[in-house]
Amino acid sequence: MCLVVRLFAVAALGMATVFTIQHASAQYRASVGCSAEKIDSLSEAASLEELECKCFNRCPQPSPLPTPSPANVFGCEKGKLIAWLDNHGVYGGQLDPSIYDDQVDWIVGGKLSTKKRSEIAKEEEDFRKVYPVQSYITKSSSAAVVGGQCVLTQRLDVHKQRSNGKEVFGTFRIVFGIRTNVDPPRIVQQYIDVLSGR
Amino acid sequence: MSITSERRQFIKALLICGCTVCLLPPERAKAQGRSYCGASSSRAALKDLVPLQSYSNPAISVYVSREDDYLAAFFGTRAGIYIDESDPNAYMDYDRNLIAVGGRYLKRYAPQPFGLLKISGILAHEESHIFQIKWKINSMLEDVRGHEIKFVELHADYLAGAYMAWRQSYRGVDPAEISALFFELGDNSVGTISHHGTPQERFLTFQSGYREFLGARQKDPSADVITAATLGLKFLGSMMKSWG
Repeated sequence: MCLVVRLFAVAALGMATVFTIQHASAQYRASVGCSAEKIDSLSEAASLEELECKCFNRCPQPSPLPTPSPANVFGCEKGKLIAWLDNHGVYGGQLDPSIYDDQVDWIVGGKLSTKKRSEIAKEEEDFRKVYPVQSYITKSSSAAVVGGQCVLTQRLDVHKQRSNGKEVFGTFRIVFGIRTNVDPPRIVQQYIDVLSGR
Repeated sequence: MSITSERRQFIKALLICGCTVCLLPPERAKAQGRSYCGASSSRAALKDLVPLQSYSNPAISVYVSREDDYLAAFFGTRAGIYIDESDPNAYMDYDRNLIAVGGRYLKRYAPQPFGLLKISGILAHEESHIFQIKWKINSMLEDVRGHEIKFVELHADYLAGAYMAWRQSYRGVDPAEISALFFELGDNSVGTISHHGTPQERFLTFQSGYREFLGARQKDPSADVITAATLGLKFLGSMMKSWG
């Protein structure tokens, strides 16, 4: 009987001790601002970084994207940009596809697609077969740095002639997004909007 | 075998053990030169250990403190947790009722993905030793088949696996990642006093603890650490021939 009472006393004391310690550790966690719930909600893959973010709001800052400085190569000056584009055959000459980036956002009439440089070269080749004669007259141009990228906006009148002699006239707006902080610069976005045509 | 008969078998084993060698006090075991995970006297003095709540990284302190709640709930034991800044691993000291986690271990694992889980894993292993000594299972497994401590360590790995299986009801556990930790902890110094088990043996033992205890809990949700300890003894019994 005595043994039973002693065992009970030891068990009760043990439970009380565990409760006291648990209470103390909960108090400690509360004092440093990290509740049990926060800790329990960590993912199994959690590292110290996730823990510190959840408990102490010390979250890693997303590494800042390198801000291109468009002035690195030849700035974002429309005259230089137009000359560069003209030299590479953009305005009806022999197009040099190397001025395009590997992947280019291609937006025609508001519809976005992504084109590889090789696709652009092939389409240009096909386009030239259909319209062997092309000429472009610049009506207006402006250049500005937008989102760290140099953007050249132009309004162009176009005259194209099919191989059978049929002529096509039109006006369209073209916008080039150009990375000018690399050497050589690259077109990464091209927006074409047909304004009129006949 | 039902859980009830497993429990009976466990108690029977403890009684048999208690009648023979297991009643040796820890001091005598140490005097005989037996130690595992640091039940040795060469560990840091208490004054050189950093109490958990005074550790320089409060995020790790609160994490370990929360783990300690779960460890106490599963094992029914509660050792004080300290940081030994100079140690690369972890150890326990039953006499002083403490677990010391190496500061170098924390610094190594905490920043890694799954690193916190691996801190929990090592704590579970050390708390398993506290449990083993409390129930004198350690003495049953010392000097088995010529290995001083190997089977004590493997049984602790098994219990750590069972703990993780139990713990996943409350917190996320990735069994593959935590098993990998026990593989890393393995050593190939077979024949030495400090041999804890090869990487493959430790990996398999931890995984078996995890898997078998999950199975036991599915059959009987009341399965607890006693169940796990019994299953662990059975598992090691079945593996001893090939691992001895």
